[in-house]
Amino acid sequence: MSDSIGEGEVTRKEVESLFTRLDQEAESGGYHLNPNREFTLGLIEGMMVNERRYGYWACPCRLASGVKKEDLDIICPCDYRDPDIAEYGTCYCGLYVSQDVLDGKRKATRIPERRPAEGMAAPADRMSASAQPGLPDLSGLTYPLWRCRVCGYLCARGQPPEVCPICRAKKDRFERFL
Amino acid sequence: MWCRMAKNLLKDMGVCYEYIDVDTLSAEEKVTVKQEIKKWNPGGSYPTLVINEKECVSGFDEAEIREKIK
Repeated sequence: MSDSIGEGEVTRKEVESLFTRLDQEAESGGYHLNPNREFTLGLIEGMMVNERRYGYWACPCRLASGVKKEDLDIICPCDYRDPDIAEYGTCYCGLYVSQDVLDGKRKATRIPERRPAEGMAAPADRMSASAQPGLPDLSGLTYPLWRCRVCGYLCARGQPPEVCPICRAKKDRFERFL
Repeated sequence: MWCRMAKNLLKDMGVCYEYIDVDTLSAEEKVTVKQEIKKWNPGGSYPTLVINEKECVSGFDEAEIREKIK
């Protein structure tokens, strides 16, 4: 497997080990990995190559900039995974699929890119509620409300959690919601 | 992975092809290559297959690739 990528540092054993972990985490959060095991292992290998190259799990099917701030939305699980699974039964790269696809009732195929084209969307100031116009004045709230941009999980506390308890996205994927 | 599948399909079909793994290029090269890709595939998705400098397949679609390479 690793021969075709040219950075032969990722071993089959490491890929399988991460596969097992991701599979457990996905199932415990109500998500499903693609049942095509070899395909899924190939994607995970791509993520691991990107982790060594950039320091994070950039989507294996998108071109990362290498600047984390610019790539945050395509760090797996990406910001677009859940809406893509809901609409097409699969995320963009095909790592995650819906129950229908898992059960073989629906086929996962090539899907359109939901990520706005380069230069189309200014990166939002995620840590500030004032960046979102039209919010009601809730300055009397005891705690700020944080939203996971990947799965929508909400929590009211001083800071977002280190890791989203639902989808395992990291702290920097949270935005101030209220 | 989809790029790898596209390469494998072309290999299976016995088609002669050249490829560029854009993620392995330098920053300057990436800019040039991305501009070229956008000419064929405005969405700039991968893989982008250009067939005989005439047609393009955006993304891996086995049926479409087989149809356009005959």
